[in-house]
Amino acid sequence: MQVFIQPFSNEEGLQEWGIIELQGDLDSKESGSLAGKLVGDLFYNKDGIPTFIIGHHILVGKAEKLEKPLAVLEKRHIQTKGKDDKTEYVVRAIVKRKLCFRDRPKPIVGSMQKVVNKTP
Amino acid sequence: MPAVTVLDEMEVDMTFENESSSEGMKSGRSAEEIEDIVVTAKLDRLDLQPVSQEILFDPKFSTTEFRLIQLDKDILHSIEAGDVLVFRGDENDAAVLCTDKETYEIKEAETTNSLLLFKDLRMPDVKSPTGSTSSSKSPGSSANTSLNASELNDSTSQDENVNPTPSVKSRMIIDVAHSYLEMKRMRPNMSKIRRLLRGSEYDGKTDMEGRQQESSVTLNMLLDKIPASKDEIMKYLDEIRAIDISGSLRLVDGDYLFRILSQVLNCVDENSWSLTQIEKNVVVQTLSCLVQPFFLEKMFEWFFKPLPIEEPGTSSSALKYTYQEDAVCRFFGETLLKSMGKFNLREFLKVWQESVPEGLIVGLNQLNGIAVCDEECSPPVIWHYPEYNLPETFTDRLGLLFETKVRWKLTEISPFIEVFSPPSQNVGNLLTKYARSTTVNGVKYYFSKHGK
Repeated sequence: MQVFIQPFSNEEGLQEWGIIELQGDLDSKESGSLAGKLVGDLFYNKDGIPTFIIGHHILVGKAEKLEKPLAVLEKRHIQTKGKDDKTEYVVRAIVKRKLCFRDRPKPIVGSMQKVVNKTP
Repeated sequence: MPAVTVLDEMEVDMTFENESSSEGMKSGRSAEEIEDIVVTAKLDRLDLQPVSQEILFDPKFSTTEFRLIQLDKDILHSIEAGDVLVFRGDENDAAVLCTDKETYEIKEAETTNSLLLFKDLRMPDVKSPTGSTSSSKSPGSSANTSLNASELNDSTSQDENVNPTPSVKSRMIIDVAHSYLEMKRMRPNMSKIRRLLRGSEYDGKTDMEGRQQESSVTLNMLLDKIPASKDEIMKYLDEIRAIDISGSLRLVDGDYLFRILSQVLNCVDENSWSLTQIEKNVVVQTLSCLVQPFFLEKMFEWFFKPLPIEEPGTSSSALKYTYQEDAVCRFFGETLLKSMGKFNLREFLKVWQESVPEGLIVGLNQLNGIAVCDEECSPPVIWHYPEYNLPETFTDRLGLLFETKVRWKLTEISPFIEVFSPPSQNVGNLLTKYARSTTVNGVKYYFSKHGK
């Protein structure tokens, strides 16, 4: 069996995408799809140190160059007449840098109520 | 409604408030909200870069399937050059990734961390040790390719003494990954090709029996079934002298090959050509009533090589050929060895030397991977022992090798196990791990870990 990885499209060129690495998982308070939901806010200070605020938590991390870059492959199903669907991948981008948040998040003291809940 | 955050000892699951499900996320944060967050989190506004990024899940999140793959330098170059890559292998094989030239082992690496993937995440400007930002030197040609022009302005304006207005950009998480693929260059195992081609031997008749026609093997079929790159497959087909007859790949019958090579050598004798004066065209013409011309061309590819043209302007038909010494000697050596069991080594070397065309010199290194010598018994012996007939798993093969002969020099055993050694490593490394060694009179020998 052969599954092809097609090169990036010439119109877009080979893009560079980014990654945020977090300890653990992100969960939404509400069930259902995560699509479209707000997670938090990301700030950089003047030294380039990232601070990520998620709900009541504050995470301080750092920007890192990946030791080996990652390619982002998107899976596609190609329909072929009379045959089984074929799968192929397309190179969408290269990731060379990431923001890494390795430490446990610290709680923000004081109420975030005002901030995170929009008044209707 | 307070946010609920789940914390446990080992992992941290962060729960975020969802405030935008009813209104859609397009509205985004207002400047006031950002200021509130900055104040509540006790961040120093003066120390922050003016542009913050709000992180959301993409509206199309989880409708697309992405895979992350960690790249070696060579593969990165292939990808940057726009090459097509391919995952290859049967259901029973471990998947491999191939460029045109090379094969890589693929393994999935899992991580307990979450990797949030963004198309347009802005990275902080990297400051050089002197403190000046890299982008301030030449913003236009900055290595930071993910920045577009307006963001560049945002990020460079921090160096000026004006206090720019804080603003916020939306960034979409398009995927969350918990694993990625890792790759390692490997030497593919090709023995399956020989197995697939068995029974198709060409002996001068281009018509195949009906049964064989159905099971005929094509290059496309091999690309589908063999976990190796195209170049490596082609090179192996060449090594085992597979020929392409109207799209079907076939091995050549050993006896037939011997007969035709003998006829070519007779032709060389009859013309009294010296070692470097062999004329291919004459050979092809002379033998064309007995042998298909395409096969004679193949014979010249396998056993002869053209000499450089001395006078410029000479047409290619006037090319002179000489022998590929190792290929001719190896073929005659193997033919002799196949005909019987164990040979007295000294006698074999004599008969072998006599069998090859005059001017060629035989040597045991020409039989790498097809013969074994035992020089410790009396008299020393040699026998046919082709690598392609050995077990395909490493431990089985090593076991059999040590049964065949108790101790081996590195150069003796290498041809039989090098297929299992990663390309960047020495075969000796494999043996250090899976065998024991001893040094006798300055020569290192390897023997079984489980033996006496």
